[in-house]
Parts: sequence; structure tokens; C-alpha cells
Amino acid sequence: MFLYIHKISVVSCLIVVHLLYSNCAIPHRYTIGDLDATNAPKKHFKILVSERGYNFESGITVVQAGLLSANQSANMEAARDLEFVKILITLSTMGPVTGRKTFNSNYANDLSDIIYQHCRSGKIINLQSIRESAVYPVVSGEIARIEGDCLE
Amino acid sequence: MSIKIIVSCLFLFTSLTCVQLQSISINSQPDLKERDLRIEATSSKFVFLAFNFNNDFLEETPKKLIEQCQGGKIKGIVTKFETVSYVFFTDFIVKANGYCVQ
Repeated sequence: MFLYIHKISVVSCLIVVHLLYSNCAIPHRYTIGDLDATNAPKKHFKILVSERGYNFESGITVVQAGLLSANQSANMEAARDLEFVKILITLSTMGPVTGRKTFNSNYANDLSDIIYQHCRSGKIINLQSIRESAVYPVVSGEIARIEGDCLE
Repeated sequence: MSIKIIVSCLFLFTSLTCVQLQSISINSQPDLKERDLRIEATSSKFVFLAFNFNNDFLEETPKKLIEQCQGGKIKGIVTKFETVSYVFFTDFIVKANGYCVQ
């Protein structure tokens, strides 16, 4: 019986560690430009720009769990205060969202310049733009991915 | 009786789906004379909870379109990206259609 419980706890620990270190990829938006199926010589390129996103609520939940694990009355009060902070954050950031919160929305502004650096001829075909998130427990990568082919 | 109600509620709940249109894009449309051959492609990924570790399925759509129009150009593409949510699963679906111009 003890061995059985021990095995289950080891497996659950492994699952938790795996979940903490692996990310979930969430697609948000996807668009395709005009496609070229001719046999013209082309070079494929892929561009990623990203910004760190935060889930403050889940971060606070982790802190609360840490406080409550000590089982002291002062910690209980702090955890209750943090609940209020969590509500404030939720209320002040409510509304339709794409991905998690970032401190900067300018990270995709230079995409056209970066594309030009990858394709000096400027003849770009088969362009795809993908807005996605790589989600970890508290932080995330808010990603804009551009793929296409450059006619040489 | 109560078990029957719970089971039938669960059945109804699992058979319900919510569809969300995440994004739609449309490219400039070709002339009327270039609209002879309309092609379309769909790619999807069925995900349990949120355990999706890559979005490579998205790249299948343009490949499928190109396969249907070898040696030509595909213009006027309309791309739809939608998610269908079931109780424990999510289906990511990309639908695209356009005109093959030789």
C-alpha cells in the first residue's frame, strides 16, 4: 500500500514538473497572404518577435499558497489582503484580450523592417502571420510569427 | 432517478459546443475572369484541455492550397480561424479558400 502511494506521488510530481517546464502553445490569429505555387527559386524565412506576458493573478495565487502553507494567523491575513489585490487587478484589466498582459505593445512595430532584412529583394510571397502565446504557469511569451518566401 | 438525470445532463453538456471565430482575413480579390477555379483547404487540431505544444498545424493550410494549384498563383484568399470548444477538448480549425490562377 505504501509503495503504491509512493509511486503515485512520484508520478504526480513528474507530471507537475513536466507541466511547469513545458509550455502550451495557444494560437490567437492567423492570416494567409496570396500564394505562389510556381517553381520560381525562393528562400523560406521565419521571423519571431515576442514580449513577456504576465498572469499576475496566478502569481499571487502561488504566493497565497506559500503563505497559507505556514499556517500562521498573520499569513492568513496577508493571504486575504492579496485576494483583494487580485480582485483589483482583475477589475482593472477586464475586457476582451488576446493573450496575457504585457507592459509593452510595440514589440511588433518593426516587423516590416525585419522582413526586409531577411529578404533584400523585397519580393515576398506566401506570407503567413500568426499571433500566438507560449504559456507557462505565471509568465508567457506573447509572439507574433511571420513566415514567407523570398523570391531571389 | 437522480443518476439518470445526472447522466442525461452530462450527455447534453458534452454534446454542446461553442464556436468562436478568432480571426478572418481577406486578400484583394482577382478579376472576374480569373475566378474560374475556386479551391479550399482546411486544417485542424483537436486538443485535450489546453495541452497544445505547437501550432504547426497552421502551416498545413497553405501547403494544401498550393498542392491544388501546382504551377499557378492563388489569389483572393479568405482565411478563417475558429475554435470549437467542447467540455474537455478544443478544436482549432483553419479554413481557407481562394482562386487558382494559372
